[in-house]
Amino acid sequence: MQTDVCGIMVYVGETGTLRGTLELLGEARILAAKLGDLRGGDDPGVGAVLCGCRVEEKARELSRFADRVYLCDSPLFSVYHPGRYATVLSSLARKYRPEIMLFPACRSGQELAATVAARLGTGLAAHAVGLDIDPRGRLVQLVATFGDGVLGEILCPVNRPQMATVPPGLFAPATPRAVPGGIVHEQAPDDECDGIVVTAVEEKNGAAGRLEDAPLVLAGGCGLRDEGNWRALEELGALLHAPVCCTRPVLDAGWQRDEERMIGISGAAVAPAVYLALGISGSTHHTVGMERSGYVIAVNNDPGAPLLGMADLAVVGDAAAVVREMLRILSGEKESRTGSDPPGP
Amino acid sequence: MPGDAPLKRRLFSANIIESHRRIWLSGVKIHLGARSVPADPTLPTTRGVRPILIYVLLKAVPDSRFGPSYDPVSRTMIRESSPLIVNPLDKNALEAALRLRDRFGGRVAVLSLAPPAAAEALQESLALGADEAYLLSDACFAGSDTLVTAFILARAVEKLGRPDLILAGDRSADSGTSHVPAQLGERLGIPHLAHVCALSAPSPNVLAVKTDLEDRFIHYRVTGPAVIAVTRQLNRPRHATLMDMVRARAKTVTTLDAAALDIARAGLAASPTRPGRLVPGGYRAAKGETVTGAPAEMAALILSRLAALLSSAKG
Repeated sequence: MQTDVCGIMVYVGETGTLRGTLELLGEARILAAKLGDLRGGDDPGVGAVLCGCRVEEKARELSRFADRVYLCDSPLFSVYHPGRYATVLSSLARKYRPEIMLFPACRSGQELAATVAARLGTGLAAHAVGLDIDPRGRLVQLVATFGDGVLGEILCPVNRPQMATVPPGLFAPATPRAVPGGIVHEQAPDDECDGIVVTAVEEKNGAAGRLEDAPLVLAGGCGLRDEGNWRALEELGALLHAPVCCTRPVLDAGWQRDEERMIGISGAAVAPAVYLALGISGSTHHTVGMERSGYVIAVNNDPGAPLLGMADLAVVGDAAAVVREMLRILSGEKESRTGSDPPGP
Repeated sequence: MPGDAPLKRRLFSANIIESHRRIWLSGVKIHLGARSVPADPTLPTTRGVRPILIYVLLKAVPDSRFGPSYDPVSRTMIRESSPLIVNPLDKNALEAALRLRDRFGGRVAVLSLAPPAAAEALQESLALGADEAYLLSDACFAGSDTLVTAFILARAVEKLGRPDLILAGDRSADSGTSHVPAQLGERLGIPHLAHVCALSAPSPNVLAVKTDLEDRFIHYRVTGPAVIAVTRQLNRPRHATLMDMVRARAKTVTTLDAAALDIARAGLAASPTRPGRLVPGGYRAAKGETVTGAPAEMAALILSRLAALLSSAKG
């Protein structure tokens, strides 16, 4: 590959897990290989952009997975500042003229991608759940649509780069290269005063990442009908030691206030061993976030609900009643375990 | 459409019942609470010094409480069954705008780029207390992607007058790209911040905000005018009462078309992104068993299946 251009530029995020980054780089590598095949072996190459403060170590780690790492290491990047990060990314895009630019669909990634796309005057697809190269060498981005059972293609036929944000949890992580890629040190931009100044950073304590490690995830939707039944589902989650997630309407109804627990497009993607969906009909907006689950159990009173069609165990019935019954059985078990020690002989 | 009128009537009466219920449930307290937001006593009020202008971006989205309903044969969403409502997070943005206006004095204008059907959602924002509402609507706007949407909104802002602040919901409930606030800020050349979960304004032009990223909060000081996209944690939006709705009838929604906004090219033709084919996908293959029965039976079946699956997953 040439060194003065970068075919596919990946922003690796200023936070987030290495796994999410590797998924992006893995998918970028596949796209680069497809473009290379179309062009008689001229692989356009994958470059990873890393901004931070004293992140040389991380850059070396990343170089095992990318053809090139563009490193912007400066105290200016010790805390996330959208304007400043966007300045680096858009100037690198102008310098290396990527055909494709990918961002993680985390909160800062979305904000940066939108900003950079506006600065470069190009198109941006949000939350692409699939990426491909068409025979003409164009990026085909698959996004959820309002219809169900279908995904919509988004193309950016003329403007460059073709940009997309990509949610974590959907692609296979990159495998290490035989020889690490090079690290290119980039100049930090002048500190422009855009009217936004960082005044403090507050780490969240709590169990970030527990959702993705859970072997069992419970999820509830509007089929639970009211908040009382939602609370019952939460109780059930506590008894089963499983996180309780939701669909967007549940969040909008205010039953669940933690946005991080929303599964689907613009929410979280999970792939637990078992996914138990209660009262969720299964719009594509939801299912893209759970379809890699190992085993899906779905309860819904509508036999035509799409989620029943993709479940390993499809239960046609009232989700709220099933939740209540499961609670009854489990709390009965608990009582009999704690309440009645077998009398001694 | 012949089926339209009864549906509208039903929705209208549903609205009335809903408002009655709210009045009845919340009584005078909420009503008063919504009307008179107490000023922060630690801050000097600058009411009357210079009226401020805040724009709120509003999107009309299908009401998720009414669906989605499915056509079991084609398995597609029946969109017509969902009436349009104000995007929930936009109400948080409006609430923040109204509180700032009540403290500093000035006006709140709501902007929405939408087909004419969204006028009702805009009317609701007037009932909630917005002073002006503008519907940016033209057949040639159809199919605008986020970049072009931001361009049209920017043009409206330039025509209507530069604000002290622009507030928006962080994400729409339907397409949920979160792109527009940032892209509008870029287009106008003013600072912008997304995911804002707390906001205080020592003065109309200086904001202290807290943004919510996945693993931490970052506090920023923003010198306005700026575009701020807010999350639902920001505040608890007020409800419109029946009286609010009646009073709002005196205010009108102003429609601005492409000519009024001096826009020659918009919509799909001007957008860098193009929708392509619809492809089947997004689903796991249906491979499972389907069962039905009494809830107790089903509950027992699920629990025994969970026990088997999770013990094998561990081993």
